[in-house]
Amino acid sequence: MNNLKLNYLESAFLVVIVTITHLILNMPNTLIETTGSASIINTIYVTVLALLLFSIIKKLLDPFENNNIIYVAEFLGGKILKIIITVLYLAHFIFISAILLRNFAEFLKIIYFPQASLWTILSAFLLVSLIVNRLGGKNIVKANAILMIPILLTIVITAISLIGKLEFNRVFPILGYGFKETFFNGATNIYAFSGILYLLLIKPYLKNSKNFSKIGYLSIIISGIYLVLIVSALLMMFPYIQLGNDTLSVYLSTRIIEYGKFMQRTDAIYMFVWIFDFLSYLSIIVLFITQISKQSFNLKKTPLYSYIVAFIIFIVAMLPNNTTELEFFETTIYKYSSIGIVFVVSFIVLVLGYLKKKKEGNKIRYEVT
Amino acid sequence: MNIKDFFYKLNNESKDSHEFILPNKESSSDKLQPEKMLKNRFVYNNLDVNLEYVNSRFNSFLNSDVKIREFLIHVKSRQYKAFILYIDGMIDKNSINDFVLNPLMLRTRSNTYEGSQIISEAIANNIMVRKRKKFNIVDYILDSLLPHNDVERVKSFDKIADDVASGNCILFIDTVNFAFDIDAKKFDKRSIAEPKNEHVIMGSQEAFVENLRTNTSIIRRNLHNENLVVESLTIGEDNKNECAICYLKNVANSDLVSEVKYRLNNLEIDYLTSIGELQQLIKDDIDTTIPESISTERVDKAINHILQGRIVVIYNSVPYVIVVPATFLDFLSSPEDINIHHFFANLLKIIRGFSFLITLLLPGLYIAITTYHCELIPTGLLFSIIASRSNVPFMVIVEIILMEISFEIIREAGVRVPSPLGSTVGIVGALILGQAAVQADIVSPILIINIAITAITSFAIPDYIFSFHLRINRFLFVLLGFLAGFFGIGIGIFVYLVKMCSLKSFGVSFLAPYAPLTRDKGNGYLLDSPWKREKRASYLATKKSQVQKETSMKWRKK
Amino acid sequence: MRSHKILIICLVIVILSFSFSNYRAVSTIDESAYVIAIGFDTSQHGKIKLSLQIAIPSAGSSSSSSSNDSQSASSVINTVECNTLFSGINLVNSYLSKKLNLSYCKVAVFSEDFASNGIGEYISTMINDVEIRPTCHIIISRCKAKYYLENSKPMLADISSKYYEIEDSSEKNTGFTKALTILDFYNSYYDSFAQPYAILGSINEANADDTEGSQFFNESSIHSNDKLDNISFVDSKSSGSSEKSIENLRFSCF
Repeated sequence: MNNLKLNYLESAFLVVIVTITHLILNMPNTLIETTGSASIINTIYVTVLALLLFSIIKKLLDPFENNNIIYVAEFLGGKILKIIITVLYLAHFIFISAILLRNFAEFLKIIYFPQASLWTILSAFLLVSLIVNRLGGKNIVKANAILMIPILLTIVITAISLIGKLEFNRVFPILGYGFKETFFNGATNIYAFSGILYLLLIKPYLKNSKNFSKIGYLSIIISGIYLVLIVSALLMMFPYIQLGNDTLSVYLSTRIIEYGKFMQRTDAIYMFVWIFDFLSYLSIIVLFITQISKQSFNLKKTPLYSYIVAFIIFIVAMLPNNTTELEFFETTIYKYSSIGIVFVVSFIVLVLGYLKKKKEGNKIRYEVT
Repeated sequence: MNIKDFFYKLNNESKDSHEFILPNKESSSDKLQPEKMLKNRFVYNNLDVNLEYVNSRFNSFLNSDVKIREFLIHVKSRQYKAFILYIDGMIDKNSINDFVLNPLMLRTRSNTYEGSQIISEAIANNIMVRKRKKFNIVDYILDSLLPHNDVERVKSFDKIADDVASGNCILFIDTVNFAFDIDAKKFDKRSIAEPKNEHVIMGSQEAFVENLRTNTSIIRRNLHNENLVVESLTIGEDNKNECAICYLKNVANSDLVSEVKYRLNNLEIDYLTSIGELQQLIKDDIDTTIPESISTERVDKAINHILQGRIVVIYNSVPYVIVVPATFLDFLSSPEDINIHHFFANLLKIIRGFSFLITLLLPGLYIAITTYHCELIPTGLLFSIIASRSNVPFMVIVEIILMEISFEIIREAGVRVPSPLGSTVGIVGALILGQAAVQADIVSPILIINIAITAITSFAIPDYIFSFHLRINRFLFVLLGFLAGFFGIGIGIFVYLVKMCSLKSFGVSFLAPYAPLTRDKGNGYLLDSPWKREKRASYLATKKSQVQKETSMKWRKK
Repeated sequence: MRSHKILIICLVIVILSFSFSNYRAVSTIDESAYVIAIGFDTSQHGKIKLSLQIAIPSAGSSSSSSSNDSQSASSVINTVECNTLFSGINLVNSYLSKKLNLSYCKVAVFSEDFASNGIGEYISTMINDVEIRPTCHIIISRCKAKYYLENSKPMLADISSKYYEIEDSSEKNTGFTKALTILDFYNSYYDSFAQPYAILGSINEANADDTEGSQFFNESSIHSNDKLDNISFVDSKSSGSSEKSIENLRFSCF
């Protein structure tokens, strides 16, 4: 595979699609479950937090020029730390893609294809992402940039079509379970921005690395806007007590949309658009897995490796025995592993790497003079 | 009849039967040796040797239209033997008679002139010194005796053969070791007519013809620029057909031009008679059916593309030209778009975009919805669909495939039907097949409407080969929709989109300007107002990207 | 390129197996019977008496709507006694040739006696079902639900399903009641600031001699939560028509 060179809009959309896919699937439920009716305030707060975090990340990555966090890990702790960090990220990617895949496939099976077996749906998704990876990584990113615009428009149309059924009373009480719950425990809701992991990895693949800060801010702002939009639409749409129990809340809201008496139950059309979203996301995950493995393990040819990775994702996706286990994985394990890997471990590595670089920089300066 | 003959006939086979079997392997009498021996020769000094060579090379004893006319040339009271070689029907006989044979054969003042030309004169010491030009028969004939506008010297018999075959007349003279190549072509050809397949209401009605020189003359007539370059090359060993490349030297990217010339020059084939084949031979990606160059028969469309910075390839004997590089959006643009107000043009472009989607997806979506997603249909429509389908014995997929295939058969038959029967076939096809099939309860009327809409939208696509591509891929989507509903169609669209993103047409990304998503001006699908079209398309990497100044309507400014 | 082809072949096989496993269970558009209304009554034997109004799309062109005969064949009502909604549907499926499809159900009718025993669990069942739309209307009828469904013959429209759809716009025009759906009911059931409510309707079979009309009702029997608590507005039974038709003129609060 040739080296990827992404331009400004393409890389911004790459990061946005992570958040959007999680939003369409189960994430708003867990957000609302944590913070209750204060979710709108909480999501705005979390967006601002994410912007602050990104500005810190940008500053920490500055002395390393065009390199991403894997290079920082190598710089900090040699090859061992690099391999540990890479394996951690790989495990994270495989885990989230498998859980999402299983969730979406179960959903498709329940709603539209009751008699199909689960493995056919899973393997269809994975085979498509493999075929598309064979066509070239740059083409996936291009197609993703083209598809993002209909997807974003569809979400806005969904939110607008629901306006007649929203009830503003459901936002009260405004601070939900309390100030401490909203702002301190609710800060864990930042796992919604796990797309920041892609920002940490993307720097060497940019055409013009001066755009890095612009890309980061743009993608976080777009993700934040859509997060607030969907969470507020869902919060005002359904009573929040029952929201926490259901799956795929955005699907439920599309079931309700009706345009006069003529178009009702238009949820199949939205499903069509979300299939693109999900396929795009899956292909991007497989692409990133192969790219960072290429970087760390110095692989020359990646096709065989991507087949193995897809097979592992398939196996992990078949692991949960039933939907209860799946929900547990998705709400609890995903949340805390996301926070742990993206926000804790990466931060520690970045900070230590930055300090070491500054120390070395000082040392060199001292020696020269 | 004799009894003897009768018994003889019974015993032996009839001698009336004529059998001819084409042997698989070449028989020894059929080898190409004489041709090989004749190649790579140069004109001889002796006229008789030249005559013998020409007779054997051009098969003049077999060919009834290869003509050789021997005569004597008078030059300065000397006589030389000579002959001309031409193919009857391809030369202008009057021009040869008046301007070649006449001045050479008849005694005139110029060919009996005895003196020699004075170069310079000088007077020194009361003595006049004159320098005279040494007499050279070749220079004399070329400069003074052949009043024809296109005469060249040739030495190689291979070039002579090529030129005779394309309609030139060659003059051989005794004791001269080269020949004169006289271009006096005249043959019957089709005149410039209306375009047959691409109609435009408010544009020019000129179309290309089969003759290469006429085509290049049309382009030159309509594009007055000294930077317009028309380069010529030949393709094919057996059929040395001429091919011309036209571009604007100060606009088109030079790397692009060299790439086009490189690909055209490196085609090692014996013959190439169709431009469709040429289009496929110079494609970047060979595993798709999608075309990667625009083919057009309209002159104004080709000129527009040259002015934008693209390259036009004209091929002899075909009235179509191909334009490279091409992007996906060019296949959905029509030459009428710049003639009308940009608002209407944009509406039409949007309609064409929709018709692209409908042609590709409508039958697939219909079968996906009726099989897997019935709840999408409004109640009233659903009940009328069920009511109309209640007596139909087939499943939806069988109906669709039946009707699609019969429609393709009708279309194919319509191409070849003789014109007196043309309208009959239309009536037969549409009315009888459709109406009677509905009344016999073989298909449902909603499906007929579906297929008819799909067929009509496929005619809304401006490019001929692109609509073929869509017609075939439609079956793929029908199959996917039947097997897996919206999920299958979603997968199909996604893979199709990524595949199209990976295509390139002469180095330009096929889905430019949307594939590497940039924010350059002047690139998009929808047209700007004419006073805002300031730049050429950035993906063509032209040398001169500014087309208009910022305020092109200077008359508005005070 | 070779492995590209292998991948595509694998994908084709997967999608084919998708279809083959799905094939027999997929009910295409012809093989489904569409339910347009559901009725719940109390019964002696099981817990509920379920009535399903199934639409029969008429074959051929329906040009005139003058004759009443064409409407009598446009839908059919089946009744079973069962314990839950889905066991009832299963029962009906067992003797119907076509598979029942609840996607076009417009109206869910509960009789008043049935509603006084509590309808919360039935609403939850219906909300959680994939096929039933959340925009399905909910009506509490004073008469039996089966009687309500049998007598809801449209005067102006052709098919009953269209009638149920258009009916609620007439409610927008008059304001006597509101077009309420099971989603509204369910949401207000769970919301802390609202009580659940539904349309109250009945069949109008007034004769000219009927003296029950023109009275103001003020029955108030207070029950808890999802049990019926009748608060009625102005009620004036219209007189004069001998045809029976739906009259949805009031609310019922829970």
